[in-house]
Amino acid sequence: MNLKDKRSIIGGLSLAGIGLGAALYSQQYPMGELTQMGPGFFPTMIGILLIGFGLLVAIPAFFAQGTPIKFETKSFVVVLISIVLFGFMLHPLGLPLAAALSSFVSTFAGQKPLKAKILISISIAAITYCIFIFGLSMSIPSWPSLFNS
Amino acid sequence: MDTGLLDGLTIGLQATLSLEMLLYCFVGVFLGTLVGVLPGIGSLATISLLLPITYHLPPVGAIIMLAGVYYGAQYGGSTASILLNLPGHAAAVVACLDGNPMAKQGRAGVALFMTTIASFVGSMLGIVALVLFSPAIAELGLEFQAAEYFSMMVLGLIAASTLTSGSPAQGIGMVLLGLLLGTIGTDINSGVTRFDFGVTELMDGINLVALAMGIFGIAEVITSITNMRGVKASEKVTLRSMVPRINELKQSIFPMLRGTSVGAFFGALPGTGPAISSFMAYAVEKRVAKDPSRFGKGAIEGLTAPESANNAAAQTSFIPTLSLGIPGDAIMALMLGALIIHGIQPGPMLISTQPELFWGLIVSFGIGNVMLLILNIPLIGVWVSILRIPYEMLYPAILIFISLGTYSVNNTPFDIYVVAALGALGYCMAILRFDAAPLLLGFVLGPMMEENMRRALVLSRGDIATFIERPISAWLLGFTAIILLFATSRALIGFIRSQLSKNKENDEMHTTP
Repeated sequence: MNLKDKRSIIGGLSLAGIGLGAALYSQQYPMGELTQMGPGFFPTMIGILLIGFGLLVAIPAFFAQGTPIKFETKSFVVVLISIVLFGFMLHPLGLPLAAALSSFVSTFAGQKPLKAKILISISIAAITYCIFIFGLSMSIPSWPSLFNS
Repeated sequence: MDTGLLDGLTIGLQATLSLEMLLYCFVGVFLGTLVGVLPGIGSLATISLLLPITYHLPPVGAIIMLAGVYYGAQYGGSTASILLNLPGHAAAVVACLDGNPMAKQGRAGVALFMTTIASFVGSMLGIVALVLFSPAIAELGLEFQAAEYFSMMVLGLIAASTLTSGSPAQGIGMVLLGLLLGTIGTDINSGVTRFDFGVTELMDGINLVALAMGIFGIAEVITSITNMRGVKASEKVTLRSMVPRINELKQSIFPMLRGTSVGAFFGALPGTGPAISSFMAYAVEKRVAKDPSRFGKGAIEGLTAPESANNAAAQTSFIPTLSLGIPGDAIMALMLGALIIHGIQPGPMLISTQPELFWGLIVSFGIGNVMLLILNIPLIGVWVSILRIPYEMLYPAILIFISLGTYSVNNTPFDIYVVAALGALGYCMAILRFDAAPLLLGFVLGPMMEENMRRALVLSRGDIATFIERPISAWLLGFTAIILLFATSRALIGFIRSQLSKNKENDEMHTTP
């Protein structure tokens, strides 16, 4: 029974990787000298520190205990897709339609019956229209631009 | 310009006693309590959501409202803890320990009532501390130059990252990642755009609201969808049932005072806030109690002391932010961000150059807490019924609100994609048990830190030792070193202990047939 602390290993190595990438990528920006720090100085410094601390997190984790990682893939994918969809559809479809579509997709992370899903989506579209466009008069397109000339 | 207390309060009253300001205060505290009650969305997410809306408000009104959300949430947070054994946010976790047993014993009304009273006491006394100490600290802050600011920020970041949950290395790693994310965009000094990968929208850097909403809001929603399945509040709470027994009131006076002192102290320190204060207050009460075994089974002190503590801490955490311009935690970082967006330079000069803001804010705290006291008692029943809405109906709306709120900052769909991307990152971080709060702190402070470091080095003609040669800076870095040592030794001891017990386990496994 030798579960390593997988969480810290993955996290630590990722941090170190990001640090390495950042430090290398920053080389294209002028470093300047200590008297006149250039734009590349700070990110490189942070990148190097990140490598160090990332390893500091990951290495002891090889000797530590850990619990199994539980990744809620369905919720993860559904929520993210619904948000990206919303971003895509906001301008072409206008707020109420985009909101309805997006919330419909996001309800699939739950377990409500289809009728409830549709009801929730429609009510959210209505509520957001009232609050954001009516109440706060934000300049968000409310009508599909496909219908505009 | 040295304003005396009375003058200050007069300025404050003049600034706040208008219908408009009182409305902002009311909206803030109401939303704050609501958000504190609802598990799955916290004051951090709400404040970032409200940030774009506050752009259209006068600066004083904006900060009053956002602050109202902050300390208002400390009132509501314990409601779900008591009724559902599900904390509304981190500072409310302790309320589950003795609050939920009280509810199970049919005393939910009393528990809810006492937490409101305790919160009020904690807040009001916290405000007194705020008024007493801020001007003095601001005086000290006037001695600060670039090097001192840099060291102070280092201290704040290290304190914030090592005192939170998880190993100190993790916390520091998160801060560094935040600092790195903060460098994305145009560097003010040189005009060079960093890490923009050719994307035009990234030239202004990552939108703060998108970052906060993505990493905290979206990630919380994703985790809550599974966790909240099938959880429901059962009780119906009447006004009559809320009246506590006289001896319970008497028993609670000293715990409330003790809790307030603990909270006021820890709230003012960078890196510690309402959550840690509530844990500390609980520990203190248990240590001081005549019969510690009552704790965990419905001891009223175990409920009231932490509640006073987290409210006091919420008030005093404004001290470093207002008097020095250094945020103590992620939420204060957002407040600072809000101030900057309104063109107000936070720092020791704030109190003298913007007395209406400082004193107006303080007076609004007092008014806000009174509003909360009056609001919460009859509204307890309302909060309870809201908690009955199944989370599955709530979260799609939350997602849309988050996306819309972020969109409204720059009116570009790109920010919505950023929220999604950072939501993915935030969820991975949550799964890996990496605390995201230090990241937000690093992100907000990053540009300022770089600027101050650069300036300090220019002033010292490239001499790095300036950070240690200047006395105040040296002290600050010294404290930082002490905190680092403390945290590292704690981590090392924990590590060694876990290794030793693992070996013991292995030995036992080998010896038992």
